[in-house]
Amino acid sequence: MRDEDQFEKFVAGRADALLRFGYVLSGDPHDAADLVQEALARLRGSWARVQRKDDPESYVRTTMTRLHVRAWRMRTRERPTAEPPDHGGPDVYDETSDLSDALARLPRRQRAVIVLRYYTGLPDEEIAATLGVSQGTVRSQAFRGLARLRGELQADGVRRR
Amino acid sequence: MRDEFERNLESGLRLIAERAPVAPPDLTTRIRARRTRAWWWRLLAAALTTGAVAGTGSIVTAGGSVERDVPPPATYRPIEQVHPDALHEIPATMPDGRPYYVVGMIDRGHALLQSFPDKRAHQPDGLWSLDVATGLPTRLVKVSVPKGTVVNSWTAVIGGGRLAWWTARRVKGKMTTTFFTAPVTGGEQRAIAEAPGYPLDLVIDDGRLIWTRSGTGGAYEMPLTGGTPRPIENTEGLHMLHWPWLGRPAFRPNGPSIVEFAEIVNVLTGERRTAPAWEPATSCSITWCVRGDHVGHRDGTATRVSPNWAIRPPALDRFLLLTTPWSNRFHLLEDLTTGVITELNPDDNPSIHLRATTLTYRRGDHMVLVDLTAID
Repeated sequence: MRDEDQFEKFVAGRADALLRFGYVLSGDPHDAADLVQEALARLRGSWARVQRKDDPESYVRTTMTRLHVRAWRMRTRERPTAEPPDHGGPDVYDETSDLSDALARLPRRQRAVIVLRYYTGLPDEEIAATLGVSQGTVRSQAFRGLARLRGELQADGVRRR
Repeated sequence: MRDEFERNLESGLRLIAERAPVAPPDLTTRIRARRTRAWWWRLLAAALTTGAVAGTGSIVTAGGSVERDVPPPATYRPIEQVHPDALHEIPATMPDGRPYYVVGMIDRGHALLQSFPDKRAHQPDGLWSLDVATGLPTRLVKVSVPKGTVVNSWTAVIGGGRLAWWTARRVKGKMTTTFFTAPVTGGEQRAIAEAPGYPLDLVIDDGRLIWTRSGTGGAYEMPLTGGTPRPIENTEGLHMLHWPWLGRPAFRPNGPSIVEFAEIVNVLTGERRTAPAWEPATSCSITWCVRGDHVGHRDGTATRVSPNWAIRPPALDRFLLLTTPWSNRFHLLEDLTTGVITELNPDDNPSIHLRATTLTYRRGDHMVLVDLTAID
């Protein structure tokens, strides 16, 4: 199979999962789409090497995570002065809006550690490799991130008042 | 070993993931085209310099080479030229600098606003009537919440000369909702009833408050003057699409992917609709279904390819926000009823949800308010 065919097969099979990862990582559908497209564009440029040495999905996830932690944007996206909160549109059908709010208040790296550990299920060693930091840093970031979430949310994920 | 909080965190993150956009079918084409983005920017700049080309639709087709993968950036007529009567320029903040959210229109000349104590707060503290001609708000209701409230991020609804909203708190460990109303002309808030659980979607119809309940679903009704809530027959497990249409949204991560609101029922007439032509990862409204950049009728007829990918079903069963390969913003408004696409030129990224009746976005130092109900 040609490299280009293999790349297209990978994209067709994994794009939705990567978008979900990007959405949990960033909390924003537009950022998720940008991160996936940029990371896949980079993967395409390195496909032969990545396929030989690495797992392509791990490569894309690492690229997306590092881009996001570096507060990357395709272009600077201005935020509205009167930014409306999420008001129970069709995307809010559970109690996770409190969790989304609490995640949005975490520093990007802490959020990335939480997402890689509790959404992707990676061990600390792989999280460290993904972020390019030590395992000690991963553990301390996870501890701080979790403590902050626990402080804001009750055990069932609903915000404390 | 993970504790209860960590297990809930895992399931909460999976729930959040289910709201992610789906990949468009031409994603690899876009990735190839991504390298030429600067080229399209230059072309767009040239097109804008030489004059806009009016358009009422655009088809994305995948070509062979990179340069043909993305269509030239067609330009669309600005919305202020196409729908001048539906557009209002309003201040970006309340007069004291606090943020607000536009709930909807009270009438053609007045918008209903929710005010917030500060930029980070999601808990509304007041309801206001904004005169869209002068940009001046008048307070209608000073909102207060019961002690122990845990859910206080509601959207008010308008109907029958009243405003209505709700908050929720735990009573003996169980979530309990308190419903409030106030006159649409302004006055004191009044708690009219309490009910178990908490509602996701609330409407006023024919003198009644009607809502569907979070999690378990099911529609309930109560007189707007207060009284005892009662379940509406044959609505068990259903959530509100757009009253009186109810159906099943896609919000559970572990079940199979479904077509969102594939089967819907009109509670007042009993009419049922399905979406036999659409595969999972589609979201449907009453008439239309959207999957990636494909939009069409529930039965698959009138299916077309949008300039790009919409991530939500159409508001008011009619309006879609679209992005394009040459923008990261949702900068086009497509009216599915007429096929007309207009350019918003927003300075932020607007969003609308299914039941939105207005669209707001920032432009320069003010906000633009589009009254979607005023578009013929």
